[in-house]
Amino acid sequence: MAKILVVEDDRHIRELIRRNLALAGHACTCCSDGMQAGELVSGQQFDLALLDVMLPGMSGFDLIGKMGDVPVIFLTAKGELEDKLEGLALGAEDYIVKPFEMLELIARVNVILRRSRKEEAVCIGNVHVDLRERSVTVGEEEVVLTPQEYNLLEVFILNKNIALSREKLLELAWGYDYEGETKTVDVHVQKLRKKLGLKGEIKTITKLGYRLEI
Amino acid sequence: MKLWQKIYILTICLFVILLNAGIYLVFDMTYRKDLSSEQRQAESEYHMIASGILRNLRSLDGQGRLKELPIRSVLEIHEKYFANQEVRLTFWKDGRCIYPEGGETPEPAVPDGESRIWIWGRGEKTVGVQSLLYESRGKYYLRYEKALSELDASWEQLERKYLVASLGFSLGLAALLFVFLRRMMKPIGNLTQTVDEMRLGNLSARVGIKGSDDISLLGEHFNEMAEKIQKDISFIEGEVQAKQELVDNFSHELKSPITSIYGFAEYIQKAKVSEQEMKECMGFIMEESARLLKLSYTLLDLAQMRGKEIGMQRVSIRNVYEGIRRTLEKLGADCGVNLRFLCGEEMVQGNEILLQSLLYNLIHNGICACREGGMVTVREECLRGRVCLTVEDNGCGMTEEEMERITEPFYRADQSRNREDGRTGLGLSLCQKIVDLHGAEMNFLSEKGKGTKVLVLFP
Repeated sequence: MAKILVVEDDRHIRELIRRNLALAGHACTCCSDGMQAGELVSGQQFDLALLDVMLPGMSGFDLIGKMGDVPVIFLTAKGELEDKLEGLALGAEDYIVKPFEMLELIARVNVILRRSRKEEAVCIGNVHVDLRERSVTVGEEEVVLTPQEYNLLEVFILNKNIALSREKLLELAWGYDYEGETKTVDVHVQKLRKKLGLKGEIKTITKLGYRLEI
Repeated sequence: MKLWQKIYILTICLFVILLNAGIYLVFDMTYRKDLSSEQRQAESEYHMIASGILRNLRSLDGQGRLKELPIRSVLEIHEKYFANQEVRLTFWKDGRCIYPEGGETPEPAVPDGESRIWIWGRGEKTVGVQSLLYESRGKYYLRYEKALSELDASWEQLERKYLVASLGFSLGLAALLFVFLRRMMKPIGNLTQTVDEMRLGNLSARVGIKGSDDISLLGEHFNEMAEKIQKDISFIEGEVQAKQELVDNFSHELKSPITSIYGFAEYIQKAKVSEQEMKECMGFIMEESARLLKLSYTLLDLAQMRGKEIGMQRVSIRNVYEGIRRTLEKLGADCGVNLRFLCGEEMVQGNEILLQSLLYNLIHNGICACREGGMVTVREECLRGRVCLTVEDNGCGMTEEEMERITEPFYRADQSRNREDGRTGLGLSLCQKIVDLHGAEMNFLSEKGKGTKVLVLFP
């Protein structure tokens, strides 16, 4: 769980980001303009800041100077290369152009968070996953997973509470160039459920795929 | 080579050539005159001597003593008279020299009965006269020669003096010309430097101007030109920036609702959502769709009005207002803002639908600017025969800077409340367009914190 500051002037997008990040287990503090954001940053410690560029009062490019050592991702409708370069040159970690996909947002947020602070371990019920050691224990007993099974589990954990299509799972856990059947995903999911007893947590979403619910 | 160097060399050359040529001509003329006066003097002296000798010869001939010895003494006497003037006399009879004794008969011989003057070359210039003097048992000739060494010496001295003076003059001129040219050409140097600066991109470079000659005139014109260029460039830059802002704003306006719609749909699809949350998200999607729809309609309106003739007829402002009264009153009531409509029966030439849109937007803006308990007043007046429609509110008002940009598409003076009320940021752009189409004028009077008054003056 990370504390994330969201500065976005559009009420709905602000809400959307907050909800999405909440799924991934992050706590968001939202505000709509630069002045407020400056005050929030000086008062609290944040792990990451998502800044809109076109803000009332003070632009995101101006605001980044006030962020101190908080990593910043720009989230903006300005998709020109020049704007991206300017944003990155100012010290942003990443630059996301609207409209964005939920998975993309969460993935990019996670990358930045991992860079600054690796999430060590996750508990799903009585299943304990050590992300650094790549080891899984159920209760007290260690369970041996094949590398592919572990990869799939990690993808589920990093995108917890989000439904992932079979194609997406293939892409994320097997890699872009894997030319397998989506059936492979089903087989591996079955194995994971069986080995770890996660029948209730890894849900099948009809006509879409699977979702790990924590 | 620089211009001043060219002028310098050319001027010096011309000066030296003309000065020396002029002086040479004057010297030549004077010298010739001196020579001819020497000649005349020699002639008269010759005649004087010749007549004296002739008298003596005649008397000697009368006495029968026309012998060499007495003749010689006669000549000696005469020559002695001119001794200090370098005069030499020669006297001979039929090719035999009598005086000076043992001398030679000089050449060239002169025909009988004539006299001659001749001048030998420079350096040892001599003037001479010769003639047949007397005839008695033979022909007696007399020749007079005078060396002009004194004249030549004085001329040589003069020439030396002139040479020194001419050299001095030329050097003086060269120095003065150098100083003057450098000073006169300095503005050109400045101009070149300024042009160079401008070439390298410093558009604010200007020439310092002194005096009123054509170079300073050139500098003045150059400055004017630079001023104009700078103005034009900054105008173009401003335009480009405004255009970029418009594009940025437009993409922001367009992408924001799409981001929301797409995002919430994706959220419903992928996240575990409760019934309640689902309803909320649907609500967001519908609101954003409505916003997008409104934006596209407004943009369409703006685009359709571009360069298109509109149907005009006589309409009364009261009728225009009646058409939108209900909607506005509801809006006013929701925001707790009172509406006052103080209009007579004035008629204007216009398109009713467009005027409704204009009035709606102006009143809507007024309502949004007011806090609860505020007041929006619509008035209709006659100003010098023209109908003037005013919409006045006692809301937040605007600064001067905001007022200048208020009709730009997507510009919002009140940034902190933006978009949440579902407005597009195109309202006043649309109003401006409608006003332009009616040939009317729209002006804003506003004071921050006190309120805003919009005046639409119909033709």
